[in-house]
Formats: sequence, C-alpha cells, structure tokens
Amino acid sequence: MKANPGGQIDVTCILGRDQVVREAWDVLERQSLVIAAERRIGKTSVIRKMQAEAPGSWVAVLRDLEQFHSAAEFAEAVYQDVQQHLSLWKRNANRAKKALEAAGGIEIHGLLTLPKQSASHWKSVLIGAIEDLGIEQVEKRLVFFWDEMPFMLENLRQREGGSVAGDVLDVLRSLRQAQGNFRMVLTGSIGLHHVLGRLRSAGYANSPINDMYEMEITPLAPKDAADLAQRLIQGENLQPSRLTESAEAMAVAADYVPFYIHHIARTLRQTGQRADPPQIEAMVRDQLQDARDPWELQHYRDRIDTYYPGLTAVALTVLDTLALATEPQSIDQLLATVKSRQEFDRESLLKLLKALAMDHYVRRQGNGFAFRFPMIQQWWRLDRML
Amino acid sequence: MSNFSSLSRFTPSRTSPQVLRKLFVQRALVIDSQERIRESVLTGNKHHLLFVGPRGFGKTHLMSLLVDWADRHPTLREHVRIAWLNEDDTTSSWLKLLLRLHDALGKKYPTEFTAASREAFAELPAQQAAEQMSRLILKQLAPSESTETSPEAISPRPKRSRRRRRVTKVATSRTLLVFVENLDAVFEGLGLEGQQRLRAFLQEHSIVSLVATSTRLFGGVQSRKSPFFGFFQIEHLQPLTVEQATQLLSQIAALRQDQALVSFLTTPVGRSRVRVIHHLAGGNHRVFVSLSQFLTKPLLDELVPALERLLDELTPYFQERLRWLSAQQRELVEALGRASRPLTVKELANQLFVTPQTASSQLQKLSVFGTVRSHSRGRESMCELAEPLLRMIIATKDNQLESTRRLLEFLRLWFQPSGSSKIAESKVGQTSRRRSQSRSTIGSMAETIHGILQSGWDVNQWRKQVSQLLARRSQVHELSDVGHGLVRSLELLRNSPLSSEALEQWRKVWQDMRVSISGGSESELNIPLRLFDAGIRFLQTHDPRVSFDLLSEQRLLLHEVLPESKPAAEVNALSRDVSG
Repeated sequence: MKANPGGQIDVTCILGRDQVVREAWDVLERQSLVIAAERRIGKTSVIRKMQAEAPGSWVAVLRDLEQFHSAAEFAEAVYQDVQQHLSLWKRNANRAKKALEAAGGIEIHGLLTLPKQSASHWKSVLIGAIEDLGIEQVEKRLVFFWDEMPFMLENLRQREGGSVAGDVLDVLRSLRQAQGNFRMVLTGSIGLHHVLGRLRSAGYANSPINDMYEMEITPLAPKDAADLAQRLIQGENLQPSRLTESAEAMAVAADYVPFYIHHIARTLRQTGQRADPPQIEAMVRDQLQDARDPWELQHYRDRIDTYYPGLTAVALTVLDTLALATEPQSIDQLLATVKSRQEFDRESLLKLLKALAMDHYVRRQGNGFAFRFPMIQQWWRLDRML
Repeated sequence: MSNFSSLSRFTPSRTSPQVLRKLFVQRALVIDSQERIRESVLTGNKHHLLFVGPRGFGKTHLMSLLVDWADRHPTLREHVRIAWLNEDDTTSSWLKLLLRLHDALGKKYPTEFTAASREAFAELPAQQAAEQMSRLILKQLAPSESTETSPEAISPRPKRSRRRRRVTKVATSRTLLVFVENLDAVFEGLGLEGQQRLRAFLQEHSIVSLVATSTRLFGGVQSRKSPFFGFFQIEHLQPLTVEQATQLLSQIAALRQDQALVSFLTTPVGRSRVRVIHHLAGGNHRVFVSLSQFLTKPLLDELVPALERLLDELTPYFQERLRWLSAQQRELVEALGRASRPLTVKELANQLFVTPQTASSQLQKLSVFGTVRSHSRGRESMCELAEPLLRMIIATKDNQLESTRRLLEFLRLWFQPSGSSKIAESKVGQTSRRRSQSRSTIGSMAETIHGILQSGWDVNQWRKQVSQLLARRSQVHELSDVGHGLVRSLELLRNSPLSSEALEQWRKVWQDMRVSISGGSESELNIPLRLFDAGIRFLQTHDPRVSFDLLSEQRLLLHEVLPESKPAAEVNALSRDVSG
C-alpha cells in the first residue's frame, strides 16, 4: 500500500473504522446522522466505507453537494437518485413527476431540469421525490450520504439568499419527521454550526438538525494507526531498523490521524530517508515549520478571525496559553490570563471555550482545558513563535 | 544517427518512447510515479499526482513516458483507459473538460468512445449535456457492458434488476487515467464552479486518477478555499544536476554514435564545460536537449561558439514565449534583458516612461509567469530575468555580443579544473591566443593581489602596484588572470582584520582602474570588478542582500567565494506581493 495523502483510499485499506461504521449503521436504523470531525480526520473515508458495506436492507447513495449552487439543482439530483430506486411503474406515476410537470420541468434522457422561471418549485419536487419513497413499499430503504453539506448551504446563501438555504434545511427536517423509510447522513469540512450561525444572524431562527444524531469521527486508535503506518512503511519500502518501533513513532508523531501518517510516509519516500524514529521526529518538525505549510495547518490560525468575529484577540490568548501549558488549564486560570490583557467576563469565556471545543481546537480534560491534538499544539507553538 | 533525428526538443510526445526512456535521467521519479499509477489502476486507491516545474524541466517528457508505460503495461492495459489532455487546447467549463476527455479517449479508443455519441448531446443545455457526457464516459469505462454509445442506449432509466447490475459494474470499472498538462490553465478555465463539479465527480465515482503538470503552484491547489486544496500529491521537478546534464548529453551523443564526445564528457575538462552551460541554463532539460542537437567534442571544448549557437537555436523558442506577453510586459523583459545588473521597479518605470505602479503590476504578472524574479532589499525590489539565457539572447540581439562573450570566457575559466593546462583557442577580441590559466594560476594571482593589500595601508602604493600588475598582464594578454585572481582574493579577505575604511579604499583603487583600463567600454575586468565590488561591500556590511545587485549567474559565483553572502532563503519578492 502506497502513501496517498489527499487521494481516495480503497475501502479495503481504510483501517480502524469498523467500529464507527457499525455504530453509524446502528444509529441509522433509528434516525439520521450528522458526522462531525476536524478536517483531514477521515470523514469521507468513513462514509465511503459505510456506503461500500451497507447492510442488505439499505441502498446507499453518495453525493458531493459542493457542486450544487441552487436549491433546484439539489432537488433535481435528489429526484434522480430516488427515481433510480423506484420501480418503473412507480416512476411513471409518482408525485415528484407530477410536481415536475406542474412546474413546467422537462426530463430528457432520464435527467430532469426545472426551468429557471419555475425554480421556486424545487420544494414540491424535493418533497414529492421523498414522499414517493413512502408510497411504494420497496424492499430496501434509501440512505443519502450528503458530503460537504455546509459548502452547498454556503453556495445557496450566496447565490439565492439565506432564506433559501434555511428553507432547504427546514424541508429536509420536515421530510425526516414525516417519512420514516429513508435516512440522511450529513457531513462537511466546516462545521454546520458555523453555517447555521450565519443564517441565524440573517434572521433564521429554527433548529433544523436537532432531530439528528451527531457523531464525531476521532483519530485512529493507537493500534490501528500503527498498523496503517506499518503497511505504508512496507509499501513505500522505507527500510526501518525496527518496523514496529518505527510504525509506533510514526503514529504518535501524526497524532494517530491517517492523513498525517500518509504524509509522513510520502515525505520520507520523497526525501529518500529511512523510517527510523529520529528521522521521523526531525521530518515532522521540519514539516511543521515549513513555510509552504505542506500539512495544511495554517487554517487553524486563519479561520479564527471568521469563526469568532470580535473575539480573535481572546481566542488567540487562550490558545497561546494552552499551547505553552504542560497541564490542563482551568477556566479561572485562563480568565486571569485573558483579563491581564483585556476586560472579559467568565460567561463569555465559557461560551468561547465551548465554541473552540466544537471546532476541535480544545477539549475538556478533568476540570481544565487542553489542546485537542498534541501535534496542532506543537505547530501552534512553532508558528506563533511562542 | 536515425534516433537522433527523431528527437523533438519542444514536443517530447513526438519522440519515440524508446528514445525518451533513454534520455530521462531522473529515474527515481519515474519509478515512483509508475508505482503510484499502478496502484491507482489495480486497486481502489486513487492517487492524484501534480508535477510542478518551470518550462523546459521535462514535464511533458515525463508525461510521455508514463503514458507509454501505462499503455504498454501487460497487466495494466486491460484495466485502464487513458485520456491525455494536451497543453494546447482550452477548457472553459466543466462541460468542455468532459468533451476534451471524451475526445482524447475517442482518439485512443475509437470504437469505445465514438464521435456520434458525443454529437447526440450537442443540442442539450450545458448542464444536462455535462451530466450526459459524464454518464457516457462512466458507462464506457465499464468493461462488461455493451459498447453501444447512442444516448438512447444509455439514457433510459434502468430497470431495478439493471440497477443492481450497475452497482456491480461500477465496482469493476476500468480506471480512467487522465493526464492533464497545464492544470493551472485548466482550473482557471473551469472557474470555482467547474472545479467543484470536477471534485464532486471524482468523489462520487472513485475510478479516476489524475496525473497533471503545471509550471507553478497556483490558487486552485494552494488556496484553502479551493475544492482541490490538499488533493494532489505535489512533486516539484528538480533541475538537472551537472552530473545528470552530463549524463543526458552523453546518452544523446551515444545515440548519435559520437564516441569522441562521449569520451570527452568523461574528462574533467569536458565536465567543466558542462558546468558552464549548467551555470547559465540552471539545469533546464530543454536547453541541454537543444544543445545536444549540434554538439561535438571540438564545439564543447571551445565552448563560446557552442553557446552562441545554442542561443541561436533557442531564440525562436524564447521569442514565441515573449509573443504571448502584452506589449508593456515585453518592454519590461527587453529592458531587463539589456541591463547588466538587476533593476529596481522605479528604474524600470523611469526607463519605460510608465508609473511605478504600472511597472510593479506588470512585473508581478511576469513573476507569476516565471519570467521575472525579484528580491527585496529594504523597500526596493531588485528585478531580473529568471533565465540568464533569455537575457543573453536579448543582449545579443541588442548588439551586446561582446559582453556575452566576456561572460562566457569568464565562466569557462572560472570552472576550469585544477591542474589542466591547455584549454582551447579563444576568439575574444582581436587576438587569438592560447590559454594556460588554471585554478592554481588563479590561486597564485589571488595571493599576489592580496600581497599588495597586505604590504601596508598606503593607498598610493596600492594604486601604483595594482597599476604595474595590470600593465604587466595586459602586455601578455593575460588580463583575465587578474580578474579571476581579484575575485578569488575575496576568500583571503574573509578573516582579514582590515577595517571597513581600509576595505573601502582598496575597493576604490580597483574601481578607478576600471576606467583607466577600458576607457569605459567593455573589458575583461568588468565582471570581476562587479563581483569584487559586491564582495567588498558584503565584507563591510555582512548584509547578504548586497548580492542582489548582481545578476543571478554572477551572484552564484560570489556565493561560491563568500558562502556567507548567500541569503538564508531567496524569496521571490514579487511573488510574495502577489500572494499577499
């Protein structure tokens, strides 16, 4: 197996995700899912594995929603996916088709297009498509894996306005409540809470995903991470002195995140180094300090300005403090540090810490807070020259 | 000799794969890429590779090798369909990219990807046509299905039983291996929306592997907001080392059955000649391939005529590149080509009668194209042409042939191996003469010059002794010895206790000689005096940025003599401005 950072991984090579895939399918028996995780943790690999290993009673359809820029395009795609699921008879006499005809839509070679002037009919097409699933008793249930949902909502917000993005979320929620024979799995590189925050600031007041189960994808278990590292060391012929020791060192250096394990193996190969622990540690240090940011970590700093508008200085103080700390810091310790620089209250700090935790910067540890990932903590120290 | 005639300098894809294989000297890169392509074709792991390197660095050569290898590989060929999108066609939308893909596949697999199937979608709205095209391509990648390609054949929605077959079919589809040249231009044409659709296509159908090239890193893969951020495994193509360049020339010479040249390239003198060319060409593959077309042992030994002919050969290539620039950009390039040192933005603006803002904006674009390179010195950006050969071509066109020859002569002697005696016939100036300089001669000249300095801080005495030395060497036409010795004497000054003021007086003594020797015209001492001047200023200030006053090929020589004068990282100031 070759290192493949950023590429698509064969489902048989996706290691250490069996448990989370089983749990996810168990949840889907009851309700729909939102899968949250820091970017590069491996969300897309998990949903591809789920899709490939769908139990016999399910049909899984994967869509990358980033490509859609209007609610009509999204409704058309859902219509097509549902049509593929239905029998021929049902396809000819279903509600979505009628809604489509009412809107003046056309279907050519199996593809539906809503005319631009009737784009507002997307709701009836979307609702009709999902309701059609309930009318005919098919032997399998449909689950939509909708990757990059936040990007699509952002596309809609920008092109059609926040109200249309909110409408899409509301329609999907009502369909989930009304129709029990389908499920959806929403994932994305940016947290849905940020998109919802933007919609709320424009007047949207609903809670469109509070009926869904939120599941977090974490880094691999140490054993699985070492297993992956070992396979990559062998696949790249990195000739370590002691394979097990090197694989463990690689897993630890990468915080057990598969993307970084792939990166380490790839870089060792590119630079012609052996996979021995000292080389691994030195190489990771170099990568973290490389001005070209090969591990794409700069976004941890860049997004703070947009994620926490008006609170950038406080967020930076908190993260700088935690980056230097060797022990978890209590909220009172953090508050004292923040207040030594500016006026700030405990409630606001608590709220900010919760937001930082949702965005995977920090985590609760005992009665205190610490960086979520040691590697990001190391990078933060190096990048901020602390 | 027949193999030699089939070698294309500018379109490696027209050269026979057997020849290309022999000529690609960076074998490790080829093997690594082949391993990744092999895994992409035979497993569900799909690698996406992006090779980044300036023009002439062998990107198309590498692509040609990989395409040929994948196409002929006995295990892979049944499991792969190859689409090679060449660099000349334009991609303006997601639909156009799909059409290009289909056309490229149709060219290689005409019975599977027919023109008729493509034409059937001609009257559809763009979005539907794109959807149909992507369906058509996906369907044709499935080996077990019919190869009938009319839209009607694929468009009716499948029956439920057929749907189940489709799931199986996708699982066993052939891998679509897409080779894309100039990915930056393709992404620019696609725009954000097209890139998002491409990304979704790749994510939803894990049967595609991209192998792409670009002359530079660009927003589409570098920006964190881009759908393809972090998507590719990026490999920066490296310039040829001197050893690799020598190996390349030797392999082409062997193909031409020129045993004399092959033998000469194994000698220290032969390698020193290649070093000179390498110093100017910066390891550019295309330059060495061009050179190989006419190179013989005598030409390489003489060097200056060889390089003059090389410049002549490369002129149409560079002219073609300049043709795509705007008039203002061309003027900037020409001004930099005529300059004997890097210029500031303000100096360029004054020369061209434009505002500094206009000059700066155009220079930034040229920097992105890789034509201009710049370095920050305080608030100034020192600009020069990124490729010394382009500058030499412009200078030659501008009747500055003499200065080009002086530079070549200087470099030839600079890289002369220790201990060698007879070099070659020189034709510089009016006099032909035998050259006998070697590094040891130059070393003793450096000591002689340093001895004058150490004889005591008496400026008049320095002036007198230097003048006598120049007169003596001039009489025997060995002035170039003095130039080389002067530059090498900087090494002896590195640990000298001389004050900054004494160094300044020493520098002035030599600068005054420049006028008395040449009367202001081009002389053998111009380049060494320039290097000496920068070297002394570095020893006075310890500021590496003083070397930005020198053109890149001269700067490298100064770094060789005074390694501390090399800046920690040579950041392209204009590129930084652009990205910022």
